[in-house]
Amino acid sequence: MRSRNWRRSLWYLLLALVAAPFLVMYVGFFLRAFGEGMTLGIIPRQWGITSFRFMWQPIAWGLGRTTMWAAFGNTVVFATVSGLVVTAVCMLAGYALSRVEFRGKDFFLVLQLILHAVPGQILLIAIFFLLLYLGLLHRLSGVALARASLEIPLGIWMAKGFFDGIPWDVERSAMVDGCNRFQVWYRIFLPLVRPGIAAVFIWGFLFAWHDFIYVYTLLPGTIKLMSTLIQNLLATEVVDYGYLAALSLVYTIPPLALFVFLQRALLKVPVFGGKGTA
Amino acid sequence: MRVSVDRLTKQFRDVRAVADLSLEIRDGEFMALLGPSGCGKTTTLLTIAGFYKPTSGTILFDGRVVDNVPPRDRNIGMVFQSYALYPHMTAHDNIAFPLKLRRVPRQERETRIKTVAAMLGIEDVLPRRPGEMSGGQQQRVALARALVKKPGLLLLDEPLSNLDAKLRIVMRAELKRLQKDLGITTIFVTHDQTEAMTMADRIAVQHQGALQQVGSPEDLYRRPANLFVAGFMGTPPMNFLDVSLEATGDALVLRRESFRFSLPDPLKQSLGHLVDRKLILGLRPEDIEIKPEEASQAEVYVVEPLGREALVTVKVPGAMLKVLAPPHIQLQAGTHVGWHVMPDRIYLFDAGTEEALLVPGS
Repeated sequence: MRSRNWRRSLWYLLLALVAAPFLVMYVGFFLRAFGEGMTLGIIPRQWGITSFRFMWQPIAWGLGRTTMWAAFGNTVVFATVSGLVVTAVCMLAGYALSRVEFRGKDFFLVLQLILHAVPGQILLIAIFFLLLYLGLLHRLSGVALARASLEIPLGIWMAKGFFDGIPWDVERSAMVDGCNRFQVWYRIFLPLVRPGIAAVFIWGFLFAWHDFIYVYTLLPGTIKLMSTLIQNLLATEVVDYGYLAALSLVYTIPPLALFVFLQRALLKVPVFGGKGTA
Repeated sequence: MRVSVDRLTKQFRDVRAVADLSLEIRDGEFMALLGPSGCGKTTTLLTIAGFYKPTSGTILFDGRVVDNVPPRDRNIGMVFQSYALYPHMTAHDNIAFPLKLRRVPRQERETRIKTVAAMLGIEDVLPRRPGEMSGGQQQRVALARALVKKPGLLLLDEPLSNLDAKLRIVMRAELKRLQKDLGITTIFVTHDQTEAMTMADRIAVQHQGALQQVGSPEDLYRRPANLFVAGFMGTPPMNFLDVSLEATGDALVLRRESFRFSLPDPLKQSLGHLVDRKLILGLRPEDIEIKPEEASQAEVYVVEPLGREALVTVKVPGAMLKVLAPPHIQLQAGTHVGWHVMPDRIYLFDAGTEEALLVPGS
């Protein structure tokens, strides 16, 4: 009995050690955001929201100024466009790859995995020139498209997985009932893969939301996003860590809110009737 | 609608699912496609529906080639084994769906839904979704969805196999009655010979992609074309014994170890040319009579009372025979009994080709 308790506490100690850096980080993050006048860099003398002053004050950006709201708005647009593009492409491609027979299908699927394995940074220069020739460089829409293209390969696999779960008989029923392929997709399959749509959208949205390299390189100075705003603050001579923590906290809220909001959709799976499957 | 399947072959990579199948389904007929799983019956049905393109051969509806007509333009109704209702729609919307796609005006749509729902007795489940219905209700909704568009051809893919045994017997009768009332040409796929026998006007037996025989249930049961059909039709199935036909003096005798069966005179004439051939003797369980008062090498192996009769398994040298005996017969496992066969009730098959050589009444 005793030795078992011992072993148990040893395990918990080990787990606590592993968890400690993350806990300290997050606790420090909150303390800094809401604390004022830090002692030893971590114990606040009093609580307040002065660190959140960027909500009502402009922020210096190089020689000019900007506001948090402008960057926040830009980031919402950027991530939403990227998420929508990923969703639209993946829902169509996923259906085709799940249900339509065509030559080179297996190759195409493997190619998507290989493409996903390529780090996005390697493509930066190529995408820079591509956007330049397309006249989309330094434009939010252009960079959102480029950003979306990075998440499409794995998104297609995700979408295909959801479509694969729908029995063939349901599709055949719809076709006998008078649907063409597009109507099958739109009227029957999309409502049935709502959780999949939510998952793929979150996927596309999230990667664009926290992207830094692409927006930093392809939208230099012209259009400010949250990630470049934070980087801009870090680059100043005196870093106000409380201010930075508060701004970062605001930066993390929308993805969390989106998760909570879409969780309902994620859990609302229509139940297939009958005991048999396709 | 009249359906003609003309020399249909369907090949999937290296599997030939359907081989050279020709079949004529008359207008208003209830045709069953019967066979064990993997025999190609569902492939045949899906090709008739237009989901598969024939590798070779053609399919004609009322004499018109439909090979390039997509399923939605074939004017067919279909019910699947899994029912395949749309889970995100209520029963009402499921039934309304084909009408909406055809742009049937709202008023007419509602009238037609009401009529078909009343016919199938599902008025009270109309507001429910498939997940909130029993299997039997889902099946009726699926049937309603298939019938509401007034199709020229109704295709049923194992529609009864997901129902429990009791409900299956009820639906069997109801489907048959419904089909007769509507007079709609129906093709029904099943692996259950009882279902096929009880419901269909004619049955097409398929095995390993090839059509074995087409005929009325009575035909297939009484005059099977080959060993496969004979063994597939009827429960319990026909007994088979490997025998050889020998001429002893002027008598013709079917022989198998200690078992001897002298052929009566009329059969001697017609079977004389088969002497010394390897044959298979087929005996229906109901055509064998057990004589408890006699003793032979046959030993009662097990007795299964079925209420109306008893299924007796008898061990004869080298084989087991299934026999349907009257329920009052008192038999103990292990006792030796005699058994008899009416000479006019025997079936004979060629052991090589498996073709039927003799069926009762021929």
